[in-house]
Amino acid sequence: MRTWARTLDATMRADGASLLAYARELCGDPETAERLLEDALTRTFARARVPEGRDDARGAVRDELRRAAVQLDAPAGEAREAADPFAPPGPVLPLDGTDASSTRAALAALTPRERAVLVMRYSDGLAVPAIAAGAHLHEAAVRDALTTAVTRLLALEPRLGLRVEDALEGGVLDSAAVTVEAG
Amino acid sequence: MSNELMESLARQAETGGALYDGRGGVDDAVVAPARRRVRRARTMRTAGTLGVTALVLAGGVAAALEWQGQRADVAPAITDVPVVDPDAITADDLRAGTMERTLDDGRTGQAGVLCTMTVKDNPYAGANFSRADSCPAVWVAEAPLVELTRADVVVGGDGTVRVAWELANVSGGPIAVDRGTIGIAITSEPDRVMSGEGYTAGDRRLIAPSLWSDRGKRVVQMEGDSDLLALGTGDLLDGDVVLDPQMFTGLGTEGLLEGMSDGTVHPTVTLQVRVAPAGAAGTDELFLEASAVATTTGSMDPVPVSFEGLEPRTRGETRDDAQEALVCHVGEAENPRFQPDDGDGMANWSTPTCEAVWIPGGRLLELTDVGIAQQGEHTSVFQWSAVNVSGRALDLDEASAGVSIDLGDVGYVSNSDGVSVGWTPWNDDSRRHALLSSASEPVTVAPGDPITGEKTFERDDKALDAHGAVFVRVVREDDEDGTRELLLELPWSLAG
Repeated sequence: MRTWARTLDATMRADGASLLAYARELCGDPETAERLLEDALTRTFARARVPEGRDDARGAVRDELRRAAVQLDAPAGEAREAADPFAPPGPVLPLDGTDASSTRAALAALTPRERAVLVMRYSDGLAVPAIAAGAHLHEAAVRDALTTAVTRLLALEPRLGLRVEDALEGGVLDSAAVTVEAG
Repeated sequence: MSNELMESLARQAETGGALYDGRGGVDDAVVAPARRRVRRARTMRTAGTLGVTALVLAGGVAAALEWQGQRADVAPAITDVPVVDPDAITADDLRAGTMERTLDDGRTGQAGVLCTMTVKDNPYAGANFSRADSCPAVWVAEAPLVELTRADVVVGGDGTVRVAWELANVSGGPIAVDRGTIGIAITSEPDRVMSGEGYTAGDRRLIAPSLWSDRGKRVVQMEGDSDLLALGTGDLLDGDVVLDPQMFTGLGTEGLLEGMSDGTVHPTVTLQVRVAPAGAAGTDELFLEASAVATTTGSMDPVPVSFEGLEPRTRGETRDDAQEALVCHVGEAENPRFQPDDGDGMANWSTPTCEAVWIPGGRLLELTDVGIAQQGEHTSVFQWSAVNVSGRALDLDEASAGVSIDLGDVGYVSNSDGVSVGWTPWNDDSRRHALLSSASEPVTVAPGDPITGEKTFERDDKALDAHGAVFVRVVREDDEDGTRELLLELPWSLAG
């Protein structure tokens, strides 16, 4: 078996669950997560320089997941108007009356890019420059997406206690310092 | 920061992890396809040397067939290659390994262009229109996958340019290409960014100074009917394209035809080859690019004596010592006067782009009367008369006289039976559209004698105070040469 294939298999044996979990977190949809992971694996291992080990590969696949997640198209027919920060919160009804389901519903209102940068900001704890570098986006684009995401979530779920200032100014700059725990 | 938000995200992540742990199918659904795609991409990248060997063999066969005269000169012609090959590399396989490409980035390999659009705007996904776009340039592989092994440009005497090309798959495996939509571009300065000159494109042909619209984007034309096939290692596609002289009157073509004819411009030919996606066309389209400096032969015939001594004219310029005129370089094949008669008794008209000139030596014809009369609810009639003020007899073509009615920036133009009504016909300050006809009726107009005409067109009340021009073709001594036509331009205005 070739080196790249051995490394790919070893990576997926050890980290497949956590990588799929991360893909699911980034996009919020199980089928899209599988597609994201397939693309990320392909991009990572099709390069001339193959990751040298499992850790190297895991980091490279995660980077590719981030890049792909912010480029996902919004589902057809679900293009959303930019949230009006001065509008009163909309009447979103919890799916089953629980806080968890209403948060899930609020997250579902985000575009793929908004959701992905939100995950990188709050779940990975990254600052805007680190998100931009990891996702291959301009910092202004990250700020726009984060601002819209937080504004939209605040409108739907004020009790989440999010703040645009915190979203834009918080987080760590070194993406290498952030790791994903195996599921 | 919101703990609840993080918990919600984490719960969804756990669901993803559990999905993996609880399903052996993830290996089939995710890992196995990724492994196949990686294998294809890596095989292709490392197989360049093998591909060149195959090409040499294929080229030998092609040369032998050509020597025996068995090779057809058709456009576009394609060698016999299998249409379906499940192992052929698709755009989905290649996209995974693309890298950003910029002008002068110093890299080599397989160049490409990657366009992204909505499905409804994708001409290959059923959108009922073609488009030329500026899309990100990419490196597709570290070694060439396709090469342009022949790019011959022949300039004909009348200015018609024929480009013969041959494309080879020099990779180690079959590539799924769309032979029906291959675009060909002729550029004069391919290694610089266009600086606002624009380009002229149509029918999968594009002429421009360069395809670089900025340092990271290239112009690509998306047009044609899809015709997919697997181009195997060493397989060749070939074809030829004819560019009539009118193609060289558009944006971005300045000096190219003349430069190729006199040998001062060595054009680069670039083929843009769409790679078929694995499934239906979607939001991404990948094009491989293959370029070569063309071998250029032939030259235009000298401009006939009838066109000597003409002086350049700019829009709005006035002179009392010369006659406004137009030179229309169309090539005989595109000249209605030299096209077969349809037999329906109706004249055929074309609206070529022509160069504005002065005929020095005084005025020849002067309009004495112009008017538009309404004829019923839907029809108007344009009537004009002019007189020969040259002091000598003029040989003119009465039947081919046309009328242009300039309504300014109205956003539409209607061409019918020798009348053009609508959008301003000027392309720039020195070139404008005119009218040529298949009908011809030479008359000799004596000094002081009139010549008159009448044209019917669809009623447009904006024409009542418009301005425009009447065109009268000059019958030349070499009138049997249809490469160019000389028209007298008689401006008029109904305003005020």
